Amino acid sequence: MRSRLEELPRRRLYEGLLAIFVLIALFVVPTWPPHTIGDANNHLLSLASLAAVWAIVAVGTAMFVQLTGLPTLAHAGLWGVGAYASGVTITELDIGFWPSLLFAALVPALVALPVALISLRTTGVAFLVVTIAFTEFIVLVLGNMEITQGTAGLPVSEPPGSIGPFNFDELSGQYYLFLAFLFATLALYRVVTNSAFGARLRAIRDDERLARSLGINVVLHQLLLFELTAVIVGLAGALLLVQQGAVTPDLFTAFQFIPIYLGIMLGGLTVIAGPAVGAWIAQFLPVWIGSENPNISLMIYGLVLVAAMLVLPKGVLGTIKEWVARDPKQAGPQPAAADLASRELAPPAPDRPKTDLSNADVLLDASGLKRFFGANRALAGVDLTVQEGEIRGLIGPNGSGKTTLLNCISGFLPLTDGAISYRGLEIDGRRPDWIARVGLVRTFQEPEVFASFTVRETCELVARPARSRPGANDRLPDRPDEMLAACGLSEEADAHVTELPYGQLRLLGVLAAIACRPFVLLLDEPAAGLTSVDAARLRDLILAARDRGVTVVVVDHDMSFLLPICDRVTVLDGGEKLAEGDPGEVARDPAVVAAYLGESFAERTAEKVAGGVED
Amino acid sequence: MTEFLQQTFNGLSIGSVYVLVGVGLTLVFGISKIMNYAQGQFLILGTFVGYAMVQAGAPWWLALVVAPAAVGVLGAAFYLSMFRRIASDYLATFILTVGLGIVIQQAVVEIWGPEQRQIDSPLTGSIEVGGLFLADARLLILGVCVPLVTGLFLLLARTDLGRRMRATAENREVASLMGIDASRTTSIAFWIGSALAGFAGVLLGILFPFTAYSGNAFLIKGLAVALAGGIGNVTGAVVVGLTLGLVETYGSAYAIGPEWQDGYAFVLLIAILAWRPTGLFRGTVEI
Repeated sequence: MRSRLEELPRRRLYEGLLAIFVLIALFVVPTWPPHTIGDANNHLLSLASLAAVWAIVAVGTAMFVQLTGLPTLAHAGLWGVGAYASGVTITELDIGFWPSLLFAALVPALVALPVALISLRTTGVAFLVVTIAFTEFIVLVLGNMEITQGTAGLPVSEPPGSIGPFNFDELSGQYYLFLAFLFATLALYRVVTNSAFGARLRAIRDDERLARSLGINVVLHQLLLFELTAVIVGLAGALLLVQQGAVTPDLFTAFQFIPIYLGIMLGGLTVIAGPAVGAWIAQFLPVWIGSENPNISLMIYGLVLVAAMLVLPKGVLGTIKEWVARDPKQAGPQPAAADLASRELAPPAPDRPKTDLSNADVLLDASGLKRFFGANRALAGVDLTVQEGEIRGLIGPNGSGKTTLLNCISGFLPLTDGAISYRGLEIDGRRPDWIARVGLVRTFQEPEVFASFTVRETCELVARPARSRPGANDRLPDRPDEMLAACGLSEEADAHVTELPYGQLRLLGVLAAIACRPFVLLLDEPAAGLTSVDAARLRDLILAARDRGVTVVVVDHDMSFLLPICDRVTVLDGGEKLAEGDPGEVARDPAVVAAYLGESFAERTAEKVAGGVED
Repeated sequence: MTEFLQQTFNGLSIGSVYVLVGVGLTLVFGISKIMNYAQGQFLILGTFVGYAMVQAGAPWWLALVVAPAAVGVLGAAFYLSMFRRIASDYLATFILTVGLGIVIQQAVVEIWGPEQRQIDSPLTGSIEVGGLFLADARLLILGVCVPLVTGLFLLLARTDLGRRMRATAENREVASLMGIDASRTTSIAFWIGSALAGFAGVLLGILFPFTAYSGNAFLIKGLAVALAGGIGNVTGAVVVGLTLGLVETYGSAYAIGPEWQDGYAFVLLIAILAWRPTGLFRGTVEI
C-alpha cells in the first residue's frame, strides 16, 4: 500500500520543508509567548534574532567559500570591523544607525583589500591559516585602539529608531530587520551564483589554470567576490551591534567563528539556503544541549562538531538535496551513451592545397626565447615566426622544449630571455588571461574541463565575454549550439562534462579554446589517445577554424595526424630549433630522422605512424 | 651588548618550543595532508599530565617522557579513528579538529579545573656566563629541544621509517604501490607530531604559568611557524620557529609594548606569505 506522501515528488517535500521553516521564522517566533530563562525575557526571540544575524554572516561567508573553494576565516575579523565601524561612527560622529551602515560596508571593504590581495596568493590550508592570522591581527588591533575602547568593549545604546510604520527600537522590529537583510543576502547569493560572474568563479574553482588560459582574470574575480562578501559580513556586524547593544573584540576571533562554520556545514555548504538554516541550528544547539554544567555543555558542543563532520559531511540540506536528486519520479531521460558505431566516420581528409603564405603577414614573432630551469636549458634561444593563416606543426622528441615553448608564448611561464610580439603587441611578461583576451589561446596536454559544468555551459562561459570583446575574431561562431554542431557534440550539449568519454573531452577542450574567438590557437598534443574517428573530427575542427581566420600552432607526436594538415613544421631538439619547412622535406631531413622520427619512419614514408605520448 | 645577548638567549629558548609545535604540525601535514587544529590542546594536555605526575611525586624527567608519549598515542588514535576519513577536505578537518580541541580542553577543565597552574621546575637557579644569566629552566628547554629536533632530522634522513615517511609525503599512492603501509606510517607520524606538542607542553609548564584555555595561542604560533616555513618542510619550521622566538623577545624589549606580543606571529606569517606565497622553503616532508 502506498501512502499519498510517497506519491509526492521529493522536490515538493523539500520545498515544503523550507517553506515551513520560513513561516515559523516569520510568524511563530515573534509571537511565541515570552518565557523566562534566568533573567532574560523573550528568550526565544533574542536567540532567534541572534540566529538571523549569524545566518547573514554564514550566508556571506559560504558564498565566498562555495564559489571559490577557499576556506576563509578573514570574514570573522571583517565582521568585527563592520560592527566597530558602525559603533565608532555612531559614538564619535553621532550620526545614528542608518548612516553608520555606510561605514559598516565601506570600512570592511577597505580593510579587505590588502587582506584579499595577500591571502589570494595562497590556496588550501595556507589560505585558511593566513586568514586566521589576519583575523587575529584585526582583533588585536581592535583590542588595543583607544577609539574602540580596547578589550573592554564598545557599548552603543542608540537604537535604530523607526522608519515609517516600522519601529526598530523593539526586539521584534529588529528581528524583522535582520530577516529582511537575511533574505536580501540569500537573493543576492542566488543572483551571483546564476550570473556569468558566478559561472566564471566556479570555473576558476574547478580548474584555475584552464580558466586563465580561456581569458578569465582569476585574482580580479576572486577579489571582487571577497569585497562583496566583506560588505555583507560588515553590515551583519552593524546588525550584531544593534542586537547585542555592545561588542568586544574577542567576539570576532577565528575560534569564535566556529559556530558560524558549524552552521554552514550543518546546513550544507553546497545549498544556497543551507548556511542560513544551519546558523539557526547552531544557535539553538547549546540551548537544546542545556546541561547544568557549562563546561559539559561546551564539551558536548565540541562533540557535535566532530559528529557533524563524520556523520553529515554534506549538511542537512545538502543530504536532503541529494536525496531529492535521486528521486526516480524526477529523473529525466538519461543522456544517450556515446554510440561511436552509429556515427558516420568523417570522410578522409582531401588532398588540400597548401595555404599560399607568400604574401601573408607575420602574426606571431618570437625571437631568441630562452627558458632555463636551473641548469636545464629547456629553451636555449628559439625563434618562431608564424604567418597569418598557416597551420604550423611543432614536433620533437620528449623534453625537446615544445610544451615549454607553448607555456612561454601563452604567458604561463616567464621567459629567461627573449621577446614575443603578436599583431604588433609585446606580449612577453603579460598574464595568460590577458594574452588569451587579445586572441592568443592555448590548450593543455591533459584533457582539462570545468568539472561542475555541462558541455553547453562550458562553451557559453567562454563565448559570452568573447561575443562583445572588441578585437575578437568575429568570423568564428559565437553561439554554443553552432560550435557544438561544428564538432558533432550537439547530442551531448546538456551532458555533464564528467560524463563525456575521453575523446569528446579532448574535443571540448579545443572547442572551448575556439569559443574565445582567437586569432591564434596553440594546441598541445590535441590528438593524444584519440580514436581515428575522434582524430578525424579534431582535424576537421582545426581546418574549419583555419578557414575562419585562425592561425594554428599544433604540437603532436602522431605524424599521420599532423603532417597532412600542416603548412610548415618546426622541429625542436634539446631546446633548439633543428629544422623548419615543408612537412615532406622536414620528414626526409636526415638530422630530423636521426633525432626524432627514426629510420623506419623515413622508410615507410610520411603516411605511416610514428610517435607516442609525451609524458 | 650583554642585554642583547641575554634577549637572544631568552628568544632562542622560547623559540625552540615554537619549533616543537610547528615541526609537529608541519610533519603531520606533510605526510597526511591533515592540519591538526587541536595541537594547542594537545600541548596543554601534555602540560597537565606532566603537572599531575609531578604533583603526585613522580620525578620531572619521568613526566617529560610519559606525558608526550601519552599525547602521542591520543594523536595516533584520533588519526586512525577519525581524521583519515575526512583527509583532503580542509574545512571539514578544521571543524573536526577544533571540535576535538574543545572536547580535550573541557575534559582538562573537568579534571583539573580552570585555575592557573605551574609545574614545579626541577631547576630554579641560573648560571652566569660572561655577564649573562642563563636561567636553568631555559637551559633545560634548549637541552631537550636541540636533541629532540636533531633526532627527528636523523630519523627522517637516515632511517627506514624516515624514508617511508618522506615517500608517503611525496606521493601516497605510489608509496603504497611500493609496499609502504601508508596508514601505519601516517599514524606513526601522528604519534611523533602529537608527542612533540606534549614535549612543548611540559617544557612550557616549567617556564610559565598556564590554564586549560592557553592552547589556542600556541596553536596559532605553531600554524604561523609551519606555514611560513613552507608547509611540510621541517627545516623551514625550525628556522621560522627560532625567528619568531627572537622577534617576540626583541620586540617586547626594544620596540612596542607587550600587549602586541601575540601579534608578531601574525605579522611574520603575513609578511612571509606576501613575499613567498608557499613559505620560505619548499614543501612536502623535506629536511
